[in-house]
Amino acid sequence: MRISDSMRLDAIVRQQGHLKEQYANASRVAATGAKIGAPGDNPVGAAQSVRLQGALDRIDAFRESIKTPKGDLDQAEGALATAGDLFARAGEIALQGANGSLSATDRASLASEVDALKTQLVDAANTKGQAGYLFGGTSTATAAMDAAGNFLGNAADRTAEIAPGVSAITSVSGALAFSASGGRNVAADLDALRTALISNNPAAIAATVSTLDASRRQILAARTDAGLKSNRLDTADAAHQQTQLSLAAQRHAVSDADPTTAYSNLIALQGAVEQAISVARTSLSTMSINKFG
Amino acid sequence: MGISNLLSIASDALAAQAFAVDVTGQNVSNVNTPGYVRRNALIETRGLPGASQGGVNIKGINRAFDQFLDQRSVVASGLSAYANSHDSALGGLQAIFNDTDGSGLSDKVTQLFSSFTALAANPNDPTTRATVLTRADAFAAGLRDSSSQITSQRTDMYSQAQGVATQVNGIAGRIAKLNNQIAQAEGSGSDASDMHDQRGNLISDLSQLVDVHSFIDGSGKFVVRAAGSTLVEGGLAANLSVQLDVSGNLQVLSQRGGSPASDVTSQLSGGQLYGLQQARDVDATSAQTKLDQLAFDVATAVNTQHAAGFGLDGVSGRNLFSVSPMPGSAATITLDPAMVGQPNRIAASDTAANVPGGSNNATALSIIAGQKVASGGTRTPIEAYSDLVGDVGSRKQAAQNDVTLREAQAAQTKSLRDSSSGVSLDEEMVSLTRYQRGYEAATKLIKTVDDLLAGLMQAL
Repeated sequence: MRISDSMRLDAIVRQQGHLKEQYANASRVAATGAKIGAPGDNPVGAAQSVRLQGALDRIDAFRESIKTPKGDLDQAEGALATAGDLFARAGEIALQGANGSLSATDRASLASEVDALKTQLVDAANTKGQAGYLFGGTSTATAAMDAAGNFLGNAADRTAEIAPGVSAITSVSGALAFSASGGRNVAADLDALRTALISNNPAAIAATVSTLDASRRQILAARTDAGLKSNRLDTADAAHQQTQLSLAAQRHAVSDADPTTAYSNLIALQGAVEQAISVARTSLSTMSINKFG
Repeated sequence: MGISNLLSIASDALAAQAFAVDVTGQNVSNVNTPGYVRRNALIETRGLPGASQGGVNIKGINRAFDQFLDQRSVVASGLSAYANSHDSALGGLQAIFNDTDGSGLSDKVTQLFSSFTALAANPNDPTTRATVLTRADAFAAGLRDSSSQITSQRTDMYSQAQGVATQVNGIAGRIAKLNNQIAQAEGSGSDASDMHDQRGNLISDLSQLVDVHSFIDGSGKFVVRAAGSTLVEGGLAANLSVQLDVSGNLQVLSQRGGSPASDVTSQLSGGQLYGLQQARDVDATSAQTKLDQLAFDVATAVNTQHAAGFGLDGVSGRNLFSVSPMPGSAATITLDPAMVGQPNRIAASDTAANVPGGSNNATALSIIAGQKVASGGTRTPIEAYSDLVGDVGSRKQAAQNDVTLREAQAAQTKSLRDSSSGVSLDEEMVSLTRYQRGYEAATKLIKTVDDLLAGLMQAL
């Protein structure tokens, strides 16, 4: 084949161009650590990367959004523990008040303590979390219980999506904890004890022991429910953490370059570019243009 | 043969060798001239009347031109120009959906649904509600922005295509003019090699713009066909124009003389014009359609669910987005006017009774992220978007691969053409030496004849 000068020059330019393009790409990969600089570099990988990043972002959102109900549930559990303690104390007062040796004055004094317990019960029932009143159901903007002990909330649950497509109840039912919906109107039970104490009626006082215990167990059941729901969120969060690691590893495999390989490629291409320049120099030196002079 | 004849032979030889040196010099000086076809000095023996010996005659110049190789090179170069133009245009399209550098929409899609997730956890929180509106607005703005960028690129490509058509017409006119000049020069017996080179260069330039096929027709006219129609015929050039058809797609029209313009769009097969047409009306349109579909599907799903819920004011039936049907959904999607600046209207609750703490509807909105509400109910929103990214990426990758292939083919055919037509300085150096020696020998012949004549004169 006849070789013209333009063929030799074109070949040199073309080879240099290809090598420099590869070198530029290898430099980008080594500098950024990203295997995929644009969708065209690896369309399947780019689409996969978008999906994996989307899944990672969703997991982030779940983990972040779990924090609010988790905090509220823990707070509700604490409030219910307090309420349970109140009823334990009310039960003690009932046993004490049923003792026939107590005077009317003694019982009046105990009634005052019951008043204080009721105030504390109302306070516990009106505990506010990040999402508002914790025991009002979906009525989070108004107090769950009035000063008289009437439950003002509703029995509806609040839900949240805690994992892709999985929603969970993230509230503790104040209705079940404090109102007759749960079996006992706990404030009324305290009122019954107070009334019996004021009326200095040992038999009536003794009759409240069992109802107060039922109220205490009702509150403890609600506390257990809060604990279980909180645990479920913990479990979900732990699962998210694992999923996050797995997804991040997958995304890393798809999108990120191995630094050692990237650097090795860069060095290899640098060598190839230098070699090509050397070959080009040799090739140009053999061209007759150098002999015309 | 007399001695005086020898002088005549030597004189012819000097002229012939000098002419050949001139031709060699022209080749050397044009070694880097694009499109230059190397010349060969044609010299032949010249018989002298009544003598068995003869001199040398300058017959002319021959261009080392191979029509077949040249045509292949032109076609391959046109396809390479098409591939490069297509690839370059797709580079712009790809940049709109490049999530690897943060310019894509994936963040906005996931953040929209993440804001619903946060709302479900805290439905009565003003900040969380405001964030939902912000994210929804950002989602809509992202879609509008991407759509606007596609539209802008399509507009640019239309302008470029019009510019290409103008260039085509300019070159076609010059080719037609050269055709006349070449015919005149060759008719008068002049050498038209330079004009042939110029015309070859113009054909090569033209092939960068539009697919070209040139030939000499039966009547001896040089004809250039482009986009399936005759662009130049002898001294007449047609006019190529670009406009938009009723669908908004490029329409390439060819008009010759007074005849009506014909639509040659479907005949395009090479050059920048074809690359622009493919990128604009096939690839960008496809991306635009997919983006519209994504906007419409997500907005519809979110609106349906949102309308089922209740805002803090206890009102239901409101849409979160305002979106027009396809096409144009991505370009027109906005926050519903009734929702702008009204975070309390976000419908987190599933019933009026559950306001303000009810979050079932917010949860349902959040769950849409994982539901197959897009692409005809087959893909989740982020999957549909990833499909769009993958599709644009595949088109760009295919275009890039096409560039590699077409450039290699163009280089190969150019190499074959240059092998025949290109200047080799090695050869020219040998030729120069050969003609130099020939010239020196002719000089020597004159000196020898001069010596002979001097000896003869001395003897007399």
